Amino acid sequence: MQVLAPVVDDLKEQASRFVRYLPRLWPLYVMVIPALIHLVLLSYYPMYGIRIAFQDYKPALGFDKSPWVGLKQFQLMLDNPSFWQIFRNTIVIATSKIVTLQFCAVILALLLNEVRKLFYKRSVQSLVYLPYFLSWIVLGGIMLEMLGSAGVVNQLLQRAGVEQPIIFLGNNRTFVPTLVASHLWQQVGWATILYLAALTSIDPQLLEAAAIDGAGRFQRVLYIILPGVLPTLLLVLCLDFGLLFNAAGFDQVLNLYNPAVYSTGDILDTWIYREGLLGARFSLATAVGLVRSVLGLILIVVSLRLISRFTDYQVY
Amino acid sequence: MAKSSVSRREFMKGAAVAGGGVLLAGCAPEPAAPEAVAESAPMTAMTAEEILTPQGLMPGSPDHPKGWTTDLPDLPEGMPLNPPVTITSFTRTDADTRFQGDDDIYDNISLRYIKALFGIEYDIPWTYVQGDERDQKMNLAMAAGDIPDLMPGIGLAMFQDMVAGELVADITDVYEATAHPKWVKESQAWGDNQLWAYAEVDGRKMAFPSIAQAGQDEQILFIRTDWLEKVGMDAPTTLEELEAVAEAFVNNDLGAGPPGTTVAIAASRDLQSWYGGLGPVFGGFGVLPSWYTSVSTFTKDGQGGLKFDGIDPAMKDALALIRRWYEKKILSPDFFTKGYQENRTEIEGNRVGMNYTHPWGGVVGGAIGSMANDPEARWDWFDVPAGPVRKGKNYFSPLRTGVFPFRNGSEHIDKIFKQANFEAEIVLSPQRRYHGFEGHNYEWVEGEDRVVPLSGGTHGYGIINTRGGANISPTSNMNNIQWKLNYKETVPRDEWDAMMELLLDDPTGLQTMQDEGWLFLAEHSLADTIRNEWNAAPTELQKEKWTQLQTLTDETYFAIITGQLPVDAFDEYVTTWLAQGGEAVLAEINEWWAAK
Repeated sequence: MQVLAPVVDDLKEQASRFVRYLPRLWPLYVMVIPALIHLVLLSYYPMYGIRIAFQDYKPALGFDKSPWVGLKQFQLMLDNPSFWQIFRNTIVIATSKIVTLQFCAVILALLLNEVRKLFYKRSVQSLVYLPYFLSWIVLGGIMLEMLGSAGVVNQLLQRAGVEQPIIFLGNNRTFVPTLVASHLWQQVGWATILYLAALTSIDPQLLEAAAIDGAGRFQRVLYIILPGVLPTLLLVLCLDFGLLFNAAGFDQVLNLYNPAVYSTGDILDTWIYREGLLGARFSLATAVGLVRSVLGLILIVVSLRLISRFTDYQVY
Repeated sequence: MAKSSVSRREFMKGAAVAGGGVLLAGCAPEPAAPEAVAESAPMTAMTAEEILTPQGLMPGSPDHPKGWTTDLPDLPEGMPLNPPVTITSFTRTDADTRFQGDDDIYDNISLRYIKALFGIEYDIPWTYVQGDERDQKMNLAMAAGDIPDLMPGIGLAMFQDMVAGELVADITDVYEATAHPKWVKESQAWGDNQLWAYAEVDGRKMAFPSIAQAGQDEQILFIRTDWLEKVGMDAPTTLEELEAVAEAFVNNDLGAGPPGTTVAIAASRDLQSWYGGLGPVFGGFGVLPSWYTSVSTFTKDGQGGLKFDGIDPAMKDALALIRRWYEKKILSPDFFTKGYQENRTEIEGNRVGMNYTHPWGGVVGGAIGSMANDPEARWDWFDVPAGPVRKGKNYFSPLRTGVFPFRNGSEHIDKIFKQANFEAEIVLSPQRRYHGFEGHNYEWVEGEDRVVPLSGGTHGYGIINTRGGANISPTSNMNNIQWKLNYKETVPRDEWDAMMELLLDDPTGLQTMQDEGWLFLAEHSLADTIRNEWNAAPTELQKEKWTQLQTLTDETYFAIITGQLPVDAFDEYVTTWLAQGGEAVLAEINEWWAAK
């Protein structure tokens, strides 16, 4: 009990602070309630279903009649000869997409920041934001048409002298780069918003002083602007890596992949979809999802530590 | 106090009823609606026609000079039920599901007809487009403890689980007592009672079988005959000749697309699809890739056992040939991204020269659109070219792997069978002249005595007219075609009514082409096909292993065809396939076969 004493004291202190501030802060607490309900209903309550990972669950039998099988599903997951390849694919695709997107978003934000004609700047911003609002169901169809052997891209390449059509979505060498490029096309406009906001926080006096001291535009970018957005870049990168296993983009891959590129394009989510939903192996899918969530949690904790170390940002 | 909840659909329904009621009250000169006449009369004393006509629900067009009358059978005893009963059942819908006027999937001419005739009101809790979606929604419904009364097309694995979970009713007694001995039971005895192979458990009927038409998805080869004339070649009879014709199509770039995009032979991401599938190419080597079964396809190995053709050495030869075709650009460079819709678009866009498909797919899913876009285009079907081993394609068993179970505890199963008896008699009696409803399935051309089809379907409900081709007898379509041909020969041309003119005049020749294709398939179905012998529900081991094995198969096949792996990689694939559980699955399959 002595060990717990400080914790109990801390809790008492927090409780008394809560009671003290409640009359003044209750509107804020009320505003938090919808978010709490959302969190409880959609994040905590469904965790009850984790038990499926330890059962041989069948919807026709329900939770209670489905037999308990211990760690069998996890064993099946590890025994699956494709698992590690799929795991690797997930990390490669997610990492490629995250790094490329953030790098390009910073560059685009810096370029937009240098544009002085407001109409031109806003037009470009609107154009690059546009794909973000289209779902991958729609984009997938567009990409398949555009990148097909008779699509507009291959027609242009043919006119440029490329004799053989490039099978962007059917070749293991071109599939991942195509995923990364199409993800970039869809997301980069939206991703620049954060960096453009960060750029506005840079003190204009610094830039003026540098200009007076003879710094050129490139030097100002390199020594003032880039360091100014670096904390934001690190923060976004760390948060993205915390979501590494989700960031591969299920809906994008599902709409673009095919059996010819399974060896590079099959990711955890598409595997869960095939095995879990199509193959009706809910327990295995839940087991994989659970492992993915636990690994994701670890990555988030690590990334938050890294953020607090490299930037001033602290979540808790 | 219990909180009442009103769904959007219920609200809309209520609003529609209220709105409709106000409108009717304002407009109707007399309060006596036709329904009131029907309800006030003794139900069993009335014929189907007497019930339907006042409500405007009678099929056929007897009042036109060249009209015809639908002769409906006697109503089942005690029907229409008064008050009506509600039966829940989901149904399929897709881009081809169209209705006329204000009809929709929840309220349409078919549902109103069923309600008027039988006193059965079908409530559609949800719809689906593809079987995968249906399975997912069924899983959700089971998890929520809210399954419908009638569940069309449930897969075998799910059905097994439902039986184990005591969710489905034992229909043995009600079937024996209610099903019509001629129209239902006789039809169900097709093929030595094999239609019940999936629906019976321990000798008890736990579901109604899902039945397709004999040869429904077997393939013939559709060819652009105008292209054949352009290259001065005959229709191919062997795979070598097929390759030569295909090369000529590609080299002459006969397609309507951008230069260099002609596709000689349609191919699909599903290598053995019913439409744009290469099943008959594999069949030419005597092997049969997995197709339309819940696990896969297993054929006789010649030594008393069953084998999986996917690992047969002949499969390697077939893959080598298809790889060569891919290199020669006979197939679309990205065929593996294409399914039915993409291939159909290309065929109708006149970019494709040949297509392995069923007569329906070749005509409705290809030739009609192709000829509409290019009046010079001409198509015809030919028998599948022979390979080095034989002339072979998939045998399509009318015995489908899905079944129609009923919810355990449902009180209306007998009523569904009574409805089935009535509908079966219509389906199996073409002389009754059921061609749907005026204004919904066809309409009269103004000022002329002829009809044109409308893009509406009856989209019936219940176990006979369920959307998706399920039917009461595997031979009903063949009977209909034979009846039509007989009518054409025996009834003088000037005595044809407008519907028979529509069905038989056939100025484009496409309907005749389709009918002849069907008859050809029916005649040759057994001789030129390779049969899948496996017709049992998957075991736990199979469920555990098959998705992975299928992924391995697909990945290897496509990598070999597209040149990403050498042909010899097939040997390593066979070893891996066996080691990853295929050997154990094969042992189980053979154990089942030996016991059978």
